[in-house]
Amino acid sequence: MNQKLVLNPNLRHLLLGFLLLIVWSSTAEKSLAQRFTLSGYVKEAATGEVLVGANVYVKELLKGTTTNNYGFYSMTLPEGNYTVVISYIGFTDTSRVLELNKDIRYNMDLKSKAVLTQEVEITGERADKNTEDAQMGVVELEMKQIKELPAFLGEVDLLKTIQLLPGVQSAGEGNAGFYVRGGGPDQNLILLDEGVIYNASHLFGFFSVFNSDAVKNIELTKGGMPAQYGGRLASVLDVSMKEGNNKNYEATGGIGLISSRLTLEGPIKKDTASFMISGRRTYIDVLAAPFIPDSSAFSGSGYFFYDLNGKANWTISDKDRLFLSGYLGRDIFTFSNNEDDFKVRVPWGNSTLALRWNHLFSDKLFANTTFIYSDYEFAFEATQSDFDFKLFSGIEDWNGKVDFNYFPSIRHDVKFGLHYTFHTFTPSSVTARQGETTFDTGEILKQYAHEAALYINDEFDLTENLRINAGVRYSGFRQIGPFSRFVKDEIGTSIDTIDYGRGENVATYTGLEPRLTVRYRLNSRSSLKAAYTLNYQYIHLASLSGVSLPTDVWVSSSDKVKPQRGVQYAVGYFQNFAENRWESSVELYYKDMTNLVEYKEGSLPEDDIADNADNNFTFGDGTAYGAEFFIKKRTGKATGWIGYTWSKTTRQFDDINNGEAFPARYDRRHDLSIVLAYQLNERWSFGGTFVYGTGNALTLPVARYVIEGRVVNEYTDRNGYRMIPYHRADIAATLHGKKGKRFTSDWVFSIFNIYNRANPYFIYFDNTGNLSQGTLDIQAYQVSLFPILPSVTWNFHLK
Amino acid sequence: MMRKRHSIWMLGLLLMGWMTACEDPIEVDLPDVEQKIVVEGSIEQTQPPFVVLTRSTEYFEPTNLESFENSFVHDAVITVNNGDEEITLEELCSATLPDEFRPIAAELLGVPLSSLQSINYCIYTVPLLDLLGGNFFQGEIGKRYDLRVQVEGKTFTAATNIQEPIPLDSIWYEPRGGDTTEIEGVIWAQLTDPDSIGNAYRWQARIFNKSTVFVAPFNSAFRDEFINGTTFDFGYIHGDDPNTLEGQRFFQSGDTVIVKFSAIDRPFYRFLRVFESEVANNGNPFAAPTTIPSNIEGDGGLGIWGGYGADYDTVICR
Repeated sequence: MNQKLVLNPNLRHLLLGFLLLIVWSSTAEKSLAQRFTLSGYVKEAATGEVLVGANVYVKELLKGTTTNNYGFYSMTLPEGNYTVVISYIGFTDTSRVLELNKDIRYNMDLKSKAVLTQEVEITGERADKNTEDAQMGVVELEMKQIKELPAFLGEVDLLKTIQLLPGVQSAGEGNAGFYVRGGGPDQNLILLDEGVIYNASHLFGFFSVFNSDAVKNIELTKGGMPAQYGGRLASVLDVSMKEGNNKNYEATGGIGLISSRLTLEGPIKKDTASFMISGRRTYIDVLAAPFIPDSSAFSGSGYFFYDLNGKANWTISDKDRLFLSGYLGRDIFTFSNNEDDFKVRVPWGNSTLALRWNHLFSDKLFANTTFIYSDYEFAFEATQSDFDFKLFSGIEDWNGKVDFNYFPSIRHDVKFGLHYTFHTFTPSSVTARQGETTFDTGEILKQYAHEAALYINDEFDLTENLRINAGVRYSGFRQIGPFSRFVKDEIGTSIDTIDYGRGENVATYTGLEPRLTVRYRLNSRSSLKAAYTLNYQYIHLASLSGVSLPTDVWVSSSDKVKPQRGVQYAVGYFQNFAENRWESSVELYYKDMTNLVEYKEGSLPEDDIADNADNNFTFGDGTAYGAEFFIKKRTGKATGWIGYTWSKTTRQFDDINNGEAFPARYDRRHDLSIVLAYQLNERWSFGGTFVYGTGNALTLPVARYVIEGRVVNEYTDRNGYRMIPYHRADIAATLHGKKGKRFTSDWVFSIFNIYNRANPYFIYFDNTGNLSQGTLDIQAYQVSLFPILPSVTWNFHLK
Repeated sequence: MMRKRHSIWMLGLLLMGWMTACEDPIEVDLPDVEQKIVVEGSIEQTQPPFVVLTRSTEYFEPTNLESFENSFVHDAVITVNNGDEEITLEELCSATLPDEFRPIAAELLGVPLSSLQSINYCIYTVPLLDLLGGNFFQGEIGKRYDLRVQVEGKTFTAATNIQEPIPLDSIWYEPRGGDTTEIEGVIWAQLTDPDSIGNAYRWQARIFNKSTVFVAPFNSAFRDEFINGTTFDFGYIHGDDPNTLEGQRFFQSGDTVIVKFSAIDRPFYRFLRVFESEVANNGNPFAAPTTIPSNIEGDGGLGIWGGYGADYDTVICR
């Protein structure tokens, strides 16, 4: 049952050639002069939190670098005197003249800018990241900026904010997940402190699992994925949790309409070790309880979710640092119908635990070693009289990785490493008991798999104007036993079972994934970029529903399911204006995806039970292309952006829609976002957003017929109907408390959907009357979820 | 085999949005599609074949008695072949039926007598005289039946089997929640599934003293994938009778109930499962629209040709 991907043998030479290039270009520089390394960490002065992506710039050389995910930077320069400027948005630039005649470790603490000292000071350093970086399709967002924007029911939500970026879409409220450049929600790699989050939504996507108070930094890569990331086709959302103030104790919290939050942080040992712990819980259930009397048939029904984030870090020495971080979130939905003695409990959620060790082998070689446990599980438990039923599914990962960051010279930023994951998939499994009869399909349906990858990536300047970010990732996947393959005949009856023993190879796949991004600088304010990426995805999310639900199951590549393969080509033009206060870009992309997974037509949820889920799959291809236009004002009292995307994405499956290509559910021709933030004075700030998107594609009935006296439907072509466009505007105002005291508090007032647009959530058809009495009448209804909704949230900060 | 299916996501959604969600009637502009022929046919041991031929209608087309009557397709040439013998079915319409035959016809067709009087129902079956004479083409256990329908220049074919009936071990009535003062209840049954995988079943029941119609509750069809070779208990409610608006969902104490428990073949099972979930999902936005897997071949034919290996049992509810 071994299957291997057919690889172009030329690709194998890529790795070698690439290594040689790095060696060549770093040794080429060595011959010039005596060289020394300047390295260190950039931290926030008040809290000791490291700053990710801070700019470190050498004025004399007009060159610089940025801090990595752990706040570390390293530059190897010729001997000399240099003015080093360190800058980070929202912080005061700091510069220092250094005499570099030996290797220097230089840690820098940046001070947060007081709001009103934002008089326009142009240091000109590295505000040109937009045009300078070789990377394209990468967006970093700061929590501070996100918090100023209007939030649904006052719940600050970073997933909602990234959906305001061009190329990133939501499917409307009530749909979990986000969609990047025509990719599905399972094609996004979502990392929280390096732990994989398999379902980033609470309650069908109304809220995300990321508690804004616990998050420090967000980076979204939607195209040109560098080689250190893999395993997904569409994007990487890398979210870092706060480390915790290592100087003082702090408490942050908030009370909103639907949830409350509390975060505590502080030093365990001053300047050396700190902790952060954060919790959030909704109380819709508590608020709703008084409205459901105990005598009601439905008392005992409810819903809530909670999140817990915790992190501790310890600086062991100048060279070693340890981090332990964890996340636990659960949604719990309960339903009781006391009349029928029927009870349901539906819990689902993610948990992750990550232990990381940063080690500096030298001033040029940074290493991070991580061990991660991550888990997503869903359960549906029902009882009625003497009947118990439990359906559960999930995915559990044990993950180990070593990542190196090597800075041979100022021209190079080399990353390489090794990743390994052991997956345990539990596709829909059932235990049930009725009277004396029980059955259990849990163990036999599990899938076990190894996934590993080896990568190297370098960002380097080939010439003064040509910067290259090139990498290659070699990945492999093996499903192993124990596993039982149910062999079916064409009408779905089991005719045989193939049993694989413990550790026995079920299917093996490998693939070479080259990645390349090139930036050519046209002048100091504009550049052209191009990217090519090839990705494999070995795990698949299959959905039986018209929308993304927590019931969707993750399945492994197997003897039946081949890995998904995605190739993306992108080109872009990047231009900054007005001394880099304005950034703009135009990006075009084309994406080709193969081996995508869908359920066969006519599949029912019960088909997965006591069967391999992939026996019910069918496989096909997808394409996506589009143009993204983005203009952003970075600094000043008024900031914000406008993003517009024109795109198209289709799917083609031989067994669906008679083999004809059809629009993907989230195919969206036009997508517009306008985001504005305005700082009026020290006390008041305002934010507003407007979104417009082509209506969702859906399949509607076109004809009806009668079987056994009941009306059933015949449908349009798959996703052949469009709902009306989605558009909405939200505003928010924040009243900041007086600064400088130990206790400060903010009031956030927001209005969701200010002009009360009735956006369609779904369309349904209501049949009234009776066919055989000749009174049947059918009416279509559009259900819209949220009208104009004001909300108020109170946030506090105690230090 | 959960007896009840709650649209759990719908409820979750309502919980979230019950104060805020709104729904508005809208106009939906659907593409025009051609009408298709719908075959609904069955054969059972000792019974004649029945075929109802109708036409699909545009989704929003209003239904009145006239349009309902017009949905019947007339003048089709329909044959049924059991390998040895072939019969051409005759079209029988209730309007032309003598009054005294109507109650028998109602029972055979599974429609209320009142409907038969107000609407012109048409069905294809063996010639009426054969039927009355008691000597007619009838289903036999273990045989395969090939159906051929020729109408309006189109030809449709289908095949089904009459499986060996597998009788229930026993059936009994239980009031809801075990409460003996409760007048509504459920019929329970014990089944011993043969020790060979691939069996499929269908449950239908008729309240003898109240109705002429065998009604299939939701989830009426099941297969033996999880229960192969075991003896187990299960229960069904009566379910909604699509022919009447005032039917009872539960059995009631005092009812005399005839349970028709049939062995069916896999394509028929598959059709029923998807058909029933499609009926249940009507209006549920979270369900994927599903094309019902028909066993009717040719020219976009819809519907089913199904064989019943039926066994009947009676229970009085008390």
